[in-house]
Amino acid sequence: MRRLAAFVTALVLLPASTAFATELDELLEESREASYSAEQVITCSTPDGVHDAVIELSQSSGELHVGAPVAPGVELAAGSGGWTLVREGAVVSSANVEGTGDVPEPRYSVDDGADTEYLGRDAVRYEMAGDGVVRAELVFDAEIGALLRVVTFNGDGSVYCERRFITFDPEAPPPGDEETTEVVRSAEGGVDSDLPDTLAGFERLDVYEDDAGFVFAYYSDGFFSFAVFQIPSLLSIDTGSPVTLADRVYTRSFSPGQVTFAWETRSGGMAMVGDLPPDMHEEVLAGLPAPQDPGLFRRLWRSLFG
Amino acid sequence: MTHLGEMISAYLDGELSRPEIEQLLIHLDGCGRCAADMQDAQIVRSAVRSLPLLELPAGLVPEAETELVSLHRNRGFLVGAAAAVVALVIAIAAIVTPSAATVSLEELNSRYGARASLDPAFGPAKVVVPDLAQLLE
Amino acid sequence: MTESVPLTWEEVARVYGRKIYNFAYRLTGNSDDAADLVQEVLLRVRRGLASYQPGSFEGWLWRITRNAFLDDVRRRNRRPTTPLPDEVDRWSLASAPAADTEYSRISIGDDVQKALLELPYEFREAVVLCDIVGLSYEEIARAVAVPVGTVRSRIHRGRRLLRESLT
Repeated sequence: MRRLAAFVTALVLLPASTAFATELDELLEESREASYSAEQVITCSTPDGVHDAVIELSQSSGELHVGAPVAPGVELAAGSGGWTLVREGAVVSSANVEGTGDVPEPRYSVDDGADTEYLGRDAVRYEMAGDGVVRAELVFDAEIGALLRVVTFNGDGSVYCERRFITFDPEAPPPGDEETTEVVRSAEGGVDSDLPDTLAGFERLDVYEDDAGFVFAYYSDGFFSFAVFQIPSLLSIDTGSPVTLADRVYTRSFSPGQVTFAWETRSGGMAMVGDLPPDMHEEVLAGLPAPQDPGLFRRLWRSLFG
Repeated sequence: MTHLGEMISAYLDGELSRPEIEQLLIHLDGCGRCAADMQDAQIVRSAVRSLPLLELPAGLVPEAETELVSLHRNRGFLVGAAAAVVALVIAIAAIVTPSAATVSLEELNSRYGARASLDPAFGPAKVVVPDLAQLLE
Repeated sequence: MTESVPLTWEEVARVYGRKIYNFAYRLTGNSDDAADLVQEVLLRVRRGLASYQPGSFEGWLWRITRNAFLDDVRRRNRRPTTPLPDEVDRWSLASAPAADTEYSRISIGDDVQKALLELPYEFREAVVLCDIVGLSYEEIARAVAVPVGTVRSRIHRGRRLLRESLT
């Protein structure tokens, strides 16, 4: 039974982080402030095959609204620490966090940018590189700064994901419904954690714990990010297949733009969820608690309660 | 906050009075730790109760036929409880039955997505797409 | 709930024998000791039935069972009578664990039994009387001659310890 926390009248608009550690940050900040609606295609080549999706995006005032043409009635609103997924008017899942505002050490920088054209609009194309490797191509709209196209790369230069707009309308989208939003899960930050402060070039920025007992840590390297979950109960995710990385076995599933790893340890379930390219996965997992036989107690659980 | 402690076992064994049950359920509603303890206790209790009742070795008692009489009374949840208590019991059962503790992908997505929305890179590059396959079932 | 009290020891044997056997088996992990206990209890019931005062039959029966059990343990260890239950703890009522058993292959039932045997005696007894024999706290209190609150505490602590051993 979920405990209902306070209602909020609309997603609270918090000032975005203004620490422009790099030009990349500045470009991304500007992109976040643009108002537009668009259709975006996401295509990712993963070890599991190609995963793609077409979504409808509209952005204004730092909030993203996402719709899925293949799933009418499904809507997602995200921004400023909130994430709410609605299906036919009913909230499917929702979460809310406050960040600490920490910014990781800059790992990536962008080049000077080249003028280009995209979708009939003037645009500027940048290459984002770090540690001697080009990790992304970013195409920003010259007029309003919206990120029209992003390609992310594996360490060997192969393409991981491409996200590109296929339609783009820079008019401000109509204001969203000002209805009340139930905040179902509210997580508090500043929690202690045994998880490493830095991991494979990522920095741990926040650790949260919510009233369901979920503890999760958010890691970022300035562009890519992932969350590590520690869950005090059985972790049963029915999507995914076993994969061996770092000499350990995990359950892995890909969805467009994201990977999820799940495994069990003696103290509970763990998961890693993020948008980092596949060649980074092994190093990250190697630095996290290893899968362990959950032990007799959890096997008892399964055998008694299925 | 004092936690439920041994009241958990007493509850599972049907040894609490109705007012005590109501108090317990109200506490459980807001206390994740006691809900976790309740789950643990339920599992251990069920595990012991699931041990097979062994047959008597042959020849131990005069009659060959040893008919088992169940000595368990109807314990566990109160029968005929007031509607409000029943509703709470059902609700709490959703917390304490282990199947409710399995985690869906969407629960991970929502939390990760919420925090990712604060990321400087948040936007078209980082929007967390819901698991449509699961949603459309 | 009215009970119809078995009047002959054959009836007791028939109705309760299996439970008595399981009580002893779960407490000791040893089927021979358990079988011996059944014999001993039935003997005492037979002797005691004549002077049994109607009341809670089961309470009486389980008190006999428990006392017979502990008498048997003391006798085996050839020690002078000492206060329970710390002494009983050290007597290691568990049978020796099977050598060279690959733990992961033992059935779950065996693992639970093993964990039970690791409990201090008074906790193990309380858990077995509750979850194997099926007595209420009140009945356990009468069988074991402690207050109901103590029974509740022992059962809870016993289950917590089981939880830890089963991890």
